[in-house]
Amino acid sequence: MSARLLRTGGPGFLLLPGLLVVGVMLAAPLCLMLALSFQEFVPGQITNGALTIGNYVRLLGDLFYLQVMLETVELGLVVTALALVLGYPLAFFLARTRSRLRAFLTYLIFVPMMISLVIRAYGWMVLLGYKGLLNSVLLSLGLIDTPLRLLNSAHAVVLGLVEVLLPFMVVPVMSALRDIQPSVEEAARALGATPRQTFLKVTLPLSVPGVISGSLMVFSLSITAYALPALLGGAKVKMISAIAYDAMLVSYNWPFGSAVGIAMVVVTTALIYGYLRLTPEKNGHP
Amino acid sequence: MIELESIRKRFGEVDAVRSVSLTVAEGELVSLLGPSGCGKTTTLRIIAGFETPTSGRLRIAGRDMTNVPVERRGLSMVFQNYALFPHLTVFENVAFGLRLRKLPRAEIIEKVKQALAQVGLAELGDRLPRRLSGGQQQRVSLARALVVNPSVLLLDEPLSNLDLKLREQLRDEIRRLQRSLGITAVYVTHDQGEAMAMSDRVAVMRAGRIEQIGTPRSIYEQPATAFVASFIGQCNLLGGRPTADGTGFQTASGSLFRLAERCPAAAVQLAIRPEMLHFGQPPDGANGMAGTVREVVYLGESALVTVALSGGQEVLTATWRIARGTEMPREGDSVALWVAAADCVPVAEETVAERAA
Repeated sequence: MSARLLRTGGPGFLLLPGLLVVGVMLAAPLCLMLALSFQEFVPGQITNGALTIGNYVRLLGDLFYLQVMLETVELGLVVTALALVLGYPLAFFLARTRSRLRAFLTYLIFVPMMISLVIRAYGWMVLLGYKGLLNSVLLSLGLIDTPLRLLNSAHAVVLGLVEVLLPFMVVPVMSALRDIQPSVEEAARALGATPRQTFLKVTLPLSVPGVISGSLMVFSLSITAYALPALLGGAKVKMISAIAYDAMLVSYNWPFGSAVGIAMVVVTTALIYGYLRLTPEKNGHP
Repeated sequence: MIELESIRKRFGEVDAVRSVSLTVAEGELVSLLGPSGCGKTTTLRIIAGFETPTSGRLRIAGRDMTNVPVERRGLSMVFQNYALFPHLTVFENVAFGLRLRKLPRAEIIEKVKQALAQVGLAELGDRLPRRLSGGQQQRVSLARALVVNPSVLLLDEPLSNLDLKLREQLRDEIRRLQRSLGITAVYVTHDQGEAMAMSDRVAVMRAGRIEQIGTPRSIYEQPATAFVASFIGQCNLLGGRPTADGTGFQTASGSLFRLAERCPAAAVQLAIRPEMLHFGQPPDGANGMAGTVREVVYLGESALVTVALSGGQEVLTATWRIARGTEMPREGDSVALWVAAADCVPVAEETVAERAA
């Protein structure tokens, strides 16, 4: 397929730098990991080169790991759903506002991305901590007697991930909404559709491509997140990326860490493939 | 059927529509014709309800519609870019309005099939719009607009994105359907040929006002202003003023033209269509001229001959009808021209209404 892509004419060679980066920095390590995941672990020398499926047997045979994988996917789905519910109205507003501030407001969406993720996580800690801002306010208002344990929970992780990943939902949905020709919605109105019917029957279906790409990005980024769950979830929330991290950098069991990584790639790919199959192709742009 | 009363629309600092009053009779097709920015599209969008007039009133079928939302005006609209629903099949596009009206399934299928057959697309119901050509898409859009049996059909430059041959074909098709269904229609276009061919009446617009309204023939033969004369078809315009007794028009270089009717005092230019100019000696009562041929442009059924009149700087373009075996005038030839008094139309710089406003 890449041969055909490159043969499509002059500008094909412009793909080469990108292909090279992806090839060297993504595909090659992935292949190495795939190979490593089928090798035996020997403490002290990583692997002795002997082939085995033991790593996968361990991963899939242990309820703990399956549980972690399931919870990771579950968390990804919750984050995606929340980002969609919060992001769609925002994207709609930004796509449709006639305000002169529109460019500025769109810029505001990107501002948080300019701040390090770790710093934002610490921001949430300040807000949600045991002696944090939220607890202080609730205490002083007399709404609670003892501080709530807000940090180190799945809720904190979801909250943090939604905040961090919201732009990845808003931007594609916004551009899908902007791609809709105003006359298409006007045609619906002229045919007798109320603004609400026009939204449900025309605008919403036509924004589905943006919803799909936004959801895929938010979902894959949230199930592979490492730093934010580690900082906000603490020991309570174990996500699959943390398992991989521990295997790779704590116990130096690279073969098992690779198996975890490959399993994540397979699960993510399967979910994305399923999602794309579910949404009809006809929702593409004209 | 449609009545616009002193409609005005301001966008910020700009008057898009200054003062438009217009009545469209039941079953009539009226074109709003003018260059871009003349306010024709805004006027149409006010009728549709996509814009609210800054002042003025709009009535459709006797009902005040000024503040009625689009979906309750009982009209249909056809757009320049077709505006089909890209996620729906041709069938579902046409069925859209019927489904909103909650018609029984069988009736919807029946009506959609009939509407698609009407525009010659009976076979294409299952296609998605993007799989159709521009002409086919606009036919679907027309079927979608007509199937709901609207009291008013609004067309916003529906043919502008199509190529010439298709444009003429679809133009006649739209006209035929509009007539046979007896639908009241307002048609926005910047193409004077389209407006002439389709309309019962043409409203020529400029700078937010209707400059002149009338049948295509009266607009063409009796333009009220220099703008109308030059916007519709080709026209020679000679500057000058009426003679003192009002029976003629004297051009800037001194030539005198007799007129069939009394010359209005406001006349500042004389409009003469190229095809009204004849070669040869003038018969009694006609206006004769002499000059030198500057340029000849061969067009097939005729040629356009540009003649510099002797005794001045004035230049006229005249139509030379080609007859087999005859010689065409050549550059440098001295020729005699004449025009009947009835074909000399004195025009004002602007309409009386404009100066009053």
